[in-house]
Amino acid sequence: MLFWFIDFATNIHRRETKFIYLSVTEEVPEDLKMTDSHNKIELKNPVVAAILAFLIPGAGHFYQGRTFKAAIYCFCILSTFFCGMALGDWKTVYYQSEPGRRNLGYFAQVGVGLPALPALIQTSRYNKSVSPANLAQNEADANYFESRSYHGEMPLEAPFHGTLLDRGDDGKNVSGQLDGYIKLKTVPGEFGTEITGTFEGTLDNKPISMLNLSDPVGIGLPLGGDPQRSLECAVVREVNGRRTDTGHIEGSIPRPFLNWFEMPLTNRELDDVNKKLGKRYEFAVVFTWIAGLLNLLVIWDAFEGPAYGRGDEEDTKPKDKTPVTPKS
Amino acid sequence: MSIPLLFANQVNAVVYLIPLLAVISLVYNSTRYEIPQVIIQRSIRFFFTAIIIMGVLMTLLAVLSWNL
Repeated sequence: MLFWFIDFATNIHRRETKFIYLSVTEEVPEDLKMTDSHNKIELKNPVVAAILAFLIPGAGHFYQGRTFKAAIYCFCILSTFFCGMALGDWKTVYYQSEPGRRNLGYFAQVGVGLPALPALIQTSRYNKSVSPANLAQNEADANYFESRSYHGEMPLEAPFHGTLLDRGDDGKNVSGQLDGYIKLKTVPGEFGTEITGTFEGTLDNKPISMLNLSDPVGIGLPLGGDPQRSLECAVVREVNGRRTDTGHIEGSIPRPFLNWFEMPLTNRELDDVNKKLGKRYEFAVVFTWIAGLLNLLVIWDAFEGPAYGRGDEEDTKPKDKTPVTPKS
Repeated sequence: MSIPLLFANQVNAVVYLIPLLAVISLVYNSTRYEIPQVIIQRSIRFFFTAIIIMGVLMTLLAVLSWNL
């Protein structure tokens, strides 16, 4: 409303002048025809305005001084786009470049400009981190578990949330929800480099003694569409003087923001999000599509002006004014 | 499924559609007109027209799917 008020207040004189001009002349001059908005609205440099409108919805109109419309476009389109992303657990905008798996929806989403463009960079990063064979099958996690390239990331320290299934010192089965901190590192072992580590935290919200962890360890890709990165490893205890696998933990550690935002989803991640959100995920995707497509109209408006220019005065113009006789 | 139940089942979807329709009507009409007052008037008219059309279609579909 503030933008509308400012725009209205600053342009009211110009509008009134135009109304009077229209009403006192018999013929509408060429430069004030209804659809010829170039001459009625200061479009400045239309190309610059269109580029700005593409990058940030409303920025092109702000550049042209059309603040009311800039406010409408910026608020409506960005809120629709980000609502869509939030409704879909921030997994609605991504680009799959692999042939046969391209998501055409991204071409609608990219219309919104800067908020959707990081997906292109993220796809490029993602494709570099996954082997072509597994990328074709869209089973990136499998590739990572098999290749053990996560050895290069050690030592690793991160908050961990997951489940424990173990046999305690007294021989009884122990299971429940784990919350705490995990530390993993590589050590030279009998058959090459091995991973060992510890978990400290709570089991079902009750503090437990430190768990010793060991190979086999599996960690998801550092890059992925989910903010959580899967992790599983064995729990070892001293049994009769020997280190023995007695159970395992399975859960996730967080990914840094730049490692999951607008990253391509694997088939498994897509299945998970559909299972979790159901119809809401489809609505969320549609929101982002519509936001991108609406911005195409906005870009055109910034470039060419509105369809009816200021010719919509017909709705507000008083009808009882009599035209003045044209000058000879 | 009875018509009231059918409508109740669709309420969740309608919650998402109403703000989306408001945004579409506002942005679409903003690209057609320039004067704020006209934009708002036309947007309101567009919004309610679309609501009525969708309501009629939904009712029609509910009636056609009666006892299915």
